[in-house]
Amino acid sequence: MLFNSLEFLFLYLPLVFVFFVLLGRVHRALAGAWLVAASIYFHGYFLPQYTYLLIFSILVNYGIGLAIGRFPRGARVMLTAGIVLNLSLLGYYKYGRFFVENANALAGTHVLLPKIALPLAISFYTFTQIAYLVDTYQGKVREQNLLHYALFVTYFPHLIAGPILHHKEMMPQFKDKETYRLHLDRIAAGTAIFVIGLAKKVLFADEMKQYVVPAFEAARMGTHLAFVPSWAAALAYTLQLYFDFSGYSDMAIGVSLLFNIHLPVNFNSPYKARNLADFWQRWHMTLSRFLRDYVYIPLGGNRKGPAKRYVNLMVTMFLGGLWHGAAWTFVVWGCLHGAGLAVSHAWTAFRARGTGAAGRPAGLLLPSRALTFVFVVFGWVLFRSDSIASASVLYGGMLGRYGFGVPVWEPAVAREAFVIAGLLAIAWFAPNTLEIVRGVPADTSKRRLWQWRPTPAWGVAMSILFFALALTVALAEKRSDFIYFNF
Amino acid sequence: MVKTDARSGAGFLVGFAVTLTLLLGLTTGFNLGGGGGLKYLGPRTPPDNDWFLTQASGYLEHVVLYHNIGHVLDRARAADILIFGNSRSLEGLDRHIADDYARKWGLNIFHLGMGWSETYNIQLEIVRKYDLHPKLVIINADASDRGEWDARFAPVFGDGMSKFATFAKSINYFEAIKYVVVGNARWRIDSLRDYLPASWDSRLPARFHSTVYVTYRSRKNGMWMTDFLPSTPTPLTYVLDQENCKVHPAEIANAAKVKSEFRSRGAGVLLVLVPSPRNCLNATRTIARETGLELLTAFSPGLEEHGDESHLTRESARRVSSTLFEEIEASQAFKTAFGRP
Repeated sequence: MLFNSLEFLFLYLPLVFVFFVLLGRVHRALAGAWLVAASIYFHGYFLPQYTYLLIFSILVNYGIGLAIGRFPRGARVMLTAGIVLNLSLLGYYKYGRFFVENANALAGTHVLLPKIALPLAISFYTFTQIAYLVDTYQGKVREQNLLHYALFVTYFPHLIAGPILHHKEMMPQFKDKETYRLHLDRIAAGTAIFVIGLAKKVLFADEMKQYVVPAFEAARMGTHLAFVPSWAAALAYTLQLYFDFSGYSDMAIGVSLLFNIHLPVNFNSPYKARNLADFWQRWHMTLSRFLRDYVYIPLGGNRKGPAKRYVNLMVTMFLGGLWHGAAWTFVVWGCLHGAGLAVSHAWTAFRARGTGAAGRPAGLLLPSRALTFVFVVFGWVLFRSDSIASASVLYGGMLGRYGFGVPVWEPAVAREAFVIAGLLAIAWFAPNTLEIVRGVPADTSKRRLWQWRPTPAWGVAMSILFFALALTVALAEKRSDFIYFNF
Repeated sequence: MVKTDARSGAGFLVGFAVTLTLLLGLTTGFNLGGGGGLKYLGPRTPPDNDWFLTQASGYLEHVVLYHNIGHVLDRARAADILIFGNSRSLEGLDRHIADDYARKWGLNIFHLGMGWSETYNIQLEIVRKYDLHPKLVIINADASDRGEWDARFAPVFGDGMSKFATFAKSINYFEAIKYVVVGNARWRIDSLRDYLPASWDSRLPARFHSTVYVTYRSRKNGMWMTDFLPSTPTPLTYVLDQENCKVHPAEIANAAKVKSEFRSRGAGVLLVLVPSPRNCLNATRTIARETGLELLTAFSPGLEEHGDESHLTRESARRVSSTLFEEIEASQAFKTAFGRP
């Protein structure tokens, strides 16, 4: 089910919320069970045939977690078995064809694997559960309650496209009896965050789609685009991806607040990043956190000298790229960011040696932001393209290989330029959702005009915006999926 | 992330809820209202609750029927006679005459046919899905005039189904409700064009420029409201058989399958052919002969189609309906099913 669908907005969400509140008054376990059932329905709405896979994965991982806690002698074997099982499922459904096709290409064989639809959210729930098993093995966590565990994995606001949750931040909330009580303040804040997220998706991300698809499709067909249209397409996708995914994350956080549960922040104005390391602390923050804690640090992190650190960065980002999908474009994209991060860290270390500090003169801030942004945009071209060859065609255009291509200034072109410029300005200069809906209101005099307040006036404004967005959704020709549903 | 004062939030929520209720209420109220001059080929709102929208800004018919949205199939459950067919049978049979005969016979008739060259498949699936038990099924056995399988002119006994039927089957009940509610709302919004000065038409988005055919369907007998259909009466050049008419073996096999299935349900099957310039009379006769089914052709001279080389005018539909229902009454299949006259 989609957050930006009428059935979710006017049927599923109100029903789940009302029964959660009512059942929470009777017994917490009932409310929890209701949320699990509703979440499983949410997951199976489009591809019900994979619901069994989700339930199987939960039961097996919960069982392994229990066994690791109870039988320390065999814990390592059970952990290994658990990780292998999780990765095997992921490998079969997500990477099976990719590996077989490449093996065929290398060995000249013709092994065929049937085309399998990717089970929704498999990357997300696999990673969350691997983290849980590792932490159980390390003695950091021990969950006895199946209901809480199932809720942690299936909880519908995050299930399909994150944020990637950590049990440490979720389990205590599921156990807390306060969670099952009505908190108007959090419902109000959650509503505001949800509406902002919905606006990002419906008004911004979906608007960009029309400028992205034709250009990338043309590149796929081998059409050479000139400099201006290539950059327009790359920038449009850069904006589409940001507003789509951060909009989804906002909606997830907002919906979750209705149920009195805080989800971790996933975006913090990533296009304002001053370098690549900063970018990864602002973009898909929960994935960065996962990769840091469960890949980069176990590999040795930065503890074994600079050379090993750069190798670790490359490996981590290679896996980060592969996590997004079974394609060489994602692998190359991950490696590109790995290399970028290595260079960024090397540069910082070099400057620190020269000046005795890692600080940066204020004059370099703007160029470094611009450089980071351009690097990220180049990366997104790979991320969006269906093959390296398609990306190369677009790169050729962006580097001016096929001419400058100043378009004839007509209304459609002016509109595209205006919309891209406007959204870039929002991404670069406007406050993000976190800044708009943050901390309410110990000292209202310090708040700025654009900062949200739980007042009736804001309620009316948000309601009108929500109504307009719902109307836009209703009148849309086609359903608009979220980009990260594919991962 | 969000630190709040537990007592705050009520004002915001009241503002949000009241405004949303107001906006949704106003929209609903506005949509229920009628009025405005007609710029469309059909009424902006149906005359009464007997009718539901099947086509205006979008095409809803298959979804409404397949998912029984608004319980539109209630009367089909009680139908003694079900009619299968495509748009030619929906426009070629007059609902008033059908009602007259239903009253005369003391039977319920329900038309389950669908537009867009629909085949029998989706209609048979509806019969199975809702476990309908008619005593007689009348099928407009329109054969293709193209000789080849053509999605736009598929024969009634053709394999597969239209894209609208495929879509209707692909969605679940909730999605179907949404589709229909949105389709109705879209029409309400589109039809606001009535209130704008004519000079503004060209400034509206492109989708407002095309002609809008507004079609309603009756809950009572499943028939289309044909009163407002466009008509440029044109003599029906009824060719007994097109040169390229061929019977595809699948058509005969499908017709036999339908006959067998309804026989097992205790219903008889009767083939009819509503006249159209695109008919393949001999092909339909072959299907009837090969399957042992009775075929009625309400052919009479001087018929007119309404300019699209396919559908009868209202006047011709009346004439054809009178003839056809007479023939049905006299048919062996009718006598077997109802033991009279």
